[in-house]
Amino acid sequence: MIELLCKPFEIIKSYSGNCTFLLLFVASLFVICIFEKDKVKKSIVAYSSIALLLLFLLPAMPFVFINKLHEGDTYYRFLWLLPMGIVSSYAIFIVISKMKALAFKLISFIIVLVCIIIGGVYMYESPTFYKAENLYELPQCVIDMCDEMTIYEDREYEAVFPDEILQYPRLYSPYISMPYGFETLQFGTGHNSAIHDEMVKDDIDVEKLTNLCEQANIHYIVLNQNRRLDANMDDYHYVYIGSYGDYNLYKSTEMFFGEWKDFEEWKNSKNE
Amino acid sequence: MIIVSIIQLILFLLLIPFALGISVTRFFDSKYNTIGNILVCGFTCELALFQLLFVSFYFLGFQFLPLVIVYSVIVTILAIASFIWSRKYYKKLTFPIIDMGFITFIVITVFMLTMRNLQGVNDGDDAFVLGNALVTLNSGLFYKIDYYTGFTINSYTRHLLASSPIFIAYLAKVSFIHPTILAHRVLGCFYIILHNMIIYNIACILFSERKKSQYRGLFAAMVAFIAMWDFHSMMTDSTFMLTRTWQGKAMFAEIAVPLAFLLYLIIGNEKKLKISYIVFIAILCISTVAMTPGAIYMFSLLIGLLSIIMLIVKKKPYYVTLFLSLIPMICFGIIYILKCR
Repeated sequence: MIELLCKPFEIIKSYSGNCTFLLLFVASLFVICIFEKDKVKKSIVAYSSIALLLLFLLPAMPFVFINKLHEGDTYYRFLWLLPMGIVSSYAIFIVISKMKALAFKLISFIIVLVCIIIGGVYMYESPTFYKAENLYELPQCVIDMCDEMTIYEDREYEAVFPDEILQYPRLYSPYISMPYGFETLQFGTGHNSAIHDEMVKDDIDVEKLTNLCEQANIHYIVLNQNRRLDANMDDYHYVYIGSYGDYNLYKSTEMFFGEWKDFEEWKNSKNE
Repeated sequence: MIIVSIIQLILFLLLIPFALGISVTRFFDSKYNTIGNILVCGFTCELALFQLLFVSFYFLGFQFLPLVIVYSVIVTILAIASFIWSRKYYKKLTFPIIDMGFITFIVITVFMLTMRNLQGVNDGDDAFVLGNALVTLNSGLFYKIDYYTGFTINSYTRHLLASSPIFIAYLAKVSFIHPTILAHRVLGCFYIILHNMIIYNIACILFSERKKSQYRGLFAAMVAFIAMWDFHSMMTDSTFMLTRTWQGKAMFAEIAVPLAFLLYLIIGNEKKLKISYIVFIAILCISTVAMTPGAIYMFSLLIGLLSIIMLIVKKKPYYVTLFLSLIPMICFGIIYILKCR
């Protein structure tokens, strides 16, 4: 019960960081409740926000959504229903409009802007952003590797990628398939976890990795250059093709790379 | 080919929404007949129609190409019919007041769009959204190929009701643009513009008095400014809006939620409750499920709460009919429980 009572507050704390904008929002609700005379505006903007905030804090809500519906990871999204930006800005201009002298209005406006800048965290300095290198806004090295891998269009090539670029190849090309995908990182489990377990090691057991990859019919292996290899990949049927950014690309010498119409012929010649 | 792509994008993201939207805003008071409201309402109708057709096609066993053909035909016919039916309302458009505040707002919007295009985003959920769009476009099948790996699967229904990735695939199909480029470059900008249009229209209602009209642009600029400084965590609505703009969850936060507040402000300022409002809120509900299945409970909660508030404020019992707009949510809720869990 206590856990359920605390959960919404924990979520609010991690949601709102230094809580500056949350405090601004709560103060703004008071301002609107006190100074706004229009019943409709006050109700829709302020009372609904207060009701939503109270609902969010009510233990019954986390009980239903976290305990019963297992939506614990996404419960914070209820906070999206609060129009924080609208409420805060509206209150700011209610206060400013009450001032008579233009100088006061200007000074207050500037103070508010400075407070937002000091209390806020600038979005475009977020670590999630990186400089867009191409039209796709994907790392150029991934695009170059996928182009190198796709010898024939309209057939797939199986490739294994390091975790840090795992989500990108299939945003560029549907012809690059993977033994395990982003679900391995997102959900902690996925297909071919043995290959993934080997790929994430700092010191890679080349014989083990290449054996696993051959069993899974992997055409290409991409390795981060900072990984240490205990043997030469060329000795285990994967030859070095080239380097792309921080990654080395290795190609199988045992897999079929041609068009599907030539597969039987290739298979027969291999058996001979 | 580039010219064809541009023409198709203008058709599906501007002309068709603009033609559909006028048939919604014609029922609003003439002061709400703004370009922003028309475009936003039209896009909502476009997405809701896509959602209905996609879910129907999925359960009927049809695949992507029939959906593309049928949807294109229906949405075009509806847009033409809407244009003919409501064309006289284009003459009664209300335009924004161009003042320093409005110019500031435009400058901030242009800044947001520029940053959207200068920076890529490292976000894993793209592997689902755009991976799904690319797989659907390439294979022509719904949820038969695992978008993370490329494996063939029997079916995948967890995110079935969120048709926004399929909508990206549809736009990519008709515009001949790679889904990743389309989402990152075009839809990212388009949704930011829609969001800012909604905020400006909210400003027009909040500062409806003539003597306060100078604050409209400044208010909208302030909302945008606050959003740009709201990277307090990865979870905030502003973070979703400005980083993963094209994803359904972000669309929910940036378009659906402010639009609900805008609609209820409009309804609150009207003397009578028109049935067209109830219908449009129902359409909005359908489109929110296309954005994220979580909308079934989150948006229902918001609409339910705003309807209760409206009932209390207006003190007229027939405002209870606003709850009828939640009927689509009940239907989607049943489908979700039966098929997607």
